[in-house]
Formats: sequence, structure tokens, C-alpha cells
Amino acid sequence: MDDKHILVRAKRGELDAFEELVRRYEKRVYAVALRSSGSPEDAADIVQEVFLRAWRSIESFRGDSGFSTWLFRITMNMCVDFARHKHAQPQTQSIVDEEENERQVPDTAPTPEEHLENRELGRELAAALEEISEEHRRIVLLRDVSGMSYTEIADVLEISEGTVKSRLSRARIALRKVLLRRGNLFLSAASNQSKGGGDA
Amino acid sequence: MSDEEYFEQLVSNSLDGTLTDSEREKLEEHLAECPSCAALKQDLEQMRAWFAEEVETPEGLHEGIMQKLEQETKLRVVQPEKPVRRMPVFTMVAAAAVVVLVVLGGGLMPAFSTVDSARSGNTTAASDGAAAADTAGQAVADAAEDAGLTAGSEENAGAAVAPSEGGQTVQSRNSVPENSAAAPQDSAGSTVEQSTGGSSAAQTTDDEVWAELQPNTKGVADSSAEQAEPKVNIALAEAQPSIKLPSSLSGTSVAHCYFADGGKEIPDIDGQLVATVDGISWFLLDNNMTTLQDTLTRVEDAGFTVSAYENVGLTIDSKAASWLLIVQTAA
Repeated sequence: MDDKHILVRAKRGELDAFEELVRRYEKRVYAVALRSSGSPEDAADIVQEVFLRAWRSIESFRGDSGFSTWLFRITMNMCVDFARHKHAQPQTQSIVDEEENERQVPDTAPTPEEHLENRELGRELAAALEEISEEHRRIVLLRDVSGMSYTEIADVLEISEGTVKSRLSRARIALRKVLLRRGNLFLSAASNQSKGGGDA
Repeated sequence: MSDEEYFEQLVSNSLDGTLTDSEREKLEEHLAECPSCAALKQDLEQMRAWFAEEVETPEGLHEGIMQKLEQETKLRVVQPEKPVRRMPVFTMVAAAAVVVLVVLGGGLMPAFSTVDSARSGNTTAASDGAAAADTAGQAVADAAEDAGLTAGSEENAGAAVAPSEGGQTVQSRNSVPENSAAAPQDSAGSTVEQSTGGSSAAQTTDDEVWAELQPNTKGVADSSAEQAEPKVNIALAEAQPSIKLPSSLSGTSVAHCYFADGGKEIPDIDGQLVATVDGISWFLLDNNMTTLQDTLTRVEDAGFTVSAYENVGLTIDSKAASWLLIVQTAA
């Protein structure tokens, strides 16, 4: 069944139908939230809030754009809101949280080391994303994390496809600059060869 | 666009596989002689790989989402079993209702000997009414026991305790014990219904106790309310408008209803101000996500505490064109 059929039922308030939409999109929404926040716990909170908001306002969703476009618009707003709120919190609090999070890393698959590495990388990427503009962050998340096409991104952000191309290019370059400065790109074998490449 | 920017964009597009044949040729030629762009390509590919890396979703993510949605759905259909925060309107009305029952019942049952002290504590403000209600709630429970309503029945014993717990929640809004949240609210809810609506329908054991009290108290209600009993009237006058819908709203269906209190100044609300009664403003707003989200954020930013509130006597219909915001400003 395609999104549209399910949507009709979800708009009538059928939670079963909406659950199907949750199933279809939760993973992608989670991935975007995780890359944006850098924390699995925060990402889970964001995902819950995204679907809660979607459910609350599903009846007013007119269907001019696709459901995924609409859902990712909510996701983008939630991620940005969340980052803003986090910034507003006292710094000491988040440091304590981070330390606790590290201690609580569960020793499940893949391996503790890999898990920690992933977590560390995730946090670095999220921190780097925070350093670029909101506009750039959104487009990188939509394209490189959620895997949307240029057309879909153009719909979500309400810009032309031409702008998607140029903005995406500038966003990636801005992010690379940050990652180089933070020393993250030098960690990768691939970019070891490109040390001289610097800030293109 | 400079040459540099042009090739940078080609590099970026190449990650997405959106280059035309001629663009690809041009880029390949350029990369062969421009180490800077070649390095850029490698870095962007690495970044892309990091971002696109499969994310492991945590266990219980789906269940967590659905649990939240189910709670929300329940809240829409029936009254909230356990609201996020206690609302002063609700507790004030509950307090007033208990006071009324006790005061009115006092004339009929000698057991209500503590009522006088409850009354004397209820002179000026509604908060005093709340404090009095605690005593009063206890008195109801005691009286019910004394009057033999609970004799030999386990169910009734439980019911008799409920009003006194209701009294406790009234007394300390901010320190409501978790375990008393569900049952007392039901009992308090039925109290309010009956005292305002005058209905004597008895459905639960809680109601049975009240129903037994009700016929006696009802007869006195009219006469004593007219007589000099200003303290009770003050409490009611303050409490009742909050649950009584402005007449212009009766019969309206709304998609959601939120109650905000604790702030001093109402921010700009992008909706229709339907009425302002006794410091409580009623707004109808368009039912769409943006309005809902923006408005609630703005109200919270203005220092208000917002909670879902579905006990207002309106039809909650998720398809309704509007939603209702009730704002009570701090005195």
C-alpha cells in the first residue's frame, strides 16, 4: 500500500495506519536526528517528538507535498529547535551528561570499542555540523544522511533544484573546512594524502 | 560563478551521481591537473561515507514512539487520566465543590463538626479555599464512615477514602504524590460534574457515596447559597467561570484544548480572542501544526506553564477547524 492510502486512514485518526507510516520512516528520521544531535538518547527523544507532532497535525496535512517531505520538514525543525535548546542549557550540565553517557555505553554488538568509536565520530560530526550555518546543516542532513533526491530536498526546503545543487556544494565545503580544522578529516586514510589540500 | 566554484560544484554533484557526460569529462580532466580539487573530492567522499553509514536504531524505538502516540490518542478521546501538571482551575473547582458539599451537608449530619473550621479558613482567597478543602475532604471521609455508608463494604471503604485524597491534591498542587494521581482525579472529577451540572447519576462506587450525599445536600443547596454564606460564594465565583465555557463557545468542537497559567502577560496570539472572563482568556486558533507549535512555544516563552486540558466540556474532535487555548494570567 502506498503512503497515500495509508494517509487517508491516518487522517481519519486510525492509529494503526499511522503506525505503518512510523515504521516506514522511523529509521531515516532517527538517522537524521542522530547525526544532528550526536547522541542516541537525544535522537530517540527527537524522533518521538517528530512523530507526536506529525500525529497531532496529520488531519491538517493537505497532501500538497508528499508525506515524507512534510515529515522531514518537521524533523528539520525539531533538530534545529533541539540544538538551540541544548545551546541554551548551562555548559557544565552537558559535560556531566556526556561523562555519564560514556560510562553507560552498553557492551552490546558490534564491540565496545567500535561502539565508542562510532559514538565519538557521531559526536564529532554533530559538533562540526553545529559550526556551519543552519541552512547548510539542513541540506547536508537531507542529502547525505536521509538520502533524499535533489527534487525532494527542493520540496522540503522550498527552493529550486539549482539552488539545491549550489547550496549543497557550499555546505559540504564549509563542513569540510570545519572538520579539517577540528582534525577529523586527518584521521581518515583517504584524506591523509590530501593534507596539502587545505581549505579549498 | 568562478572556475573554482564551478569545479567545486561539479565535485559535489559527482558524489550524488548527477553529472552529465560532458560535465564528468570536464571534471576528470580538471582533477588530473588540480590536486586541490582532487583532495576536495576525496574528503567529500569520506564525509559522505561517514554520514551515510548505516545507523543502528536503538531497541524499543518503535515501541517508545507508539507508546507516546497511544497516550496522546487516549488524551484526545477521553479525559486525561493523569495530566502532566495539576491545573489550578481544576483544583480550585474541585476544592470549591468539596467545600460546598461539606458546608451544605453540615446542616444535616452532625458528623460534620469540623466544617466550621474549614469555613473559617475560607474567608478571602481561593487558595484559602483549597486549604479548607483539605480539611473538608477529610471531613467528608470521616463523615461518610461515621454515617455508616462504608460499613462492611470494601469497595465503599475505598470510595470514602478517595475524596480525602482529592483534598490532598488540592492542598499541594506541586507535591502531588504519584500514586494518588489517578483515583483522586476521578473522584474529584465526579464531584465537579455533580456540583456544577446537578447530575446525580451514579456509575462508580465513588459516585455511590456522593449519590447518597447528593439528595440531601441538593435540597439545601439552593436556599443556603442564597443565604449569607459569602465565603463559599467567593470561592465559587472565582472557580466557576474557569470551568464554565463562555456562552459564545458552547457547542463548538475543537481539535485540542490547552490551558496555560503562571505567566503575567499574554503574548501575541495568532487567533480569535473569544472571551476574557475573570482573568481567563479564551482563544480559538486555526488547527494546523505551525500555529499550534508556534503559539505554545510563544506562550511558554512568556513564562506560562502549558498543559493539555480536555475537561472543558467541549467536544474534542481531531478534525475540527480550530483548537482552544485558555490562558490564565497571574494576579
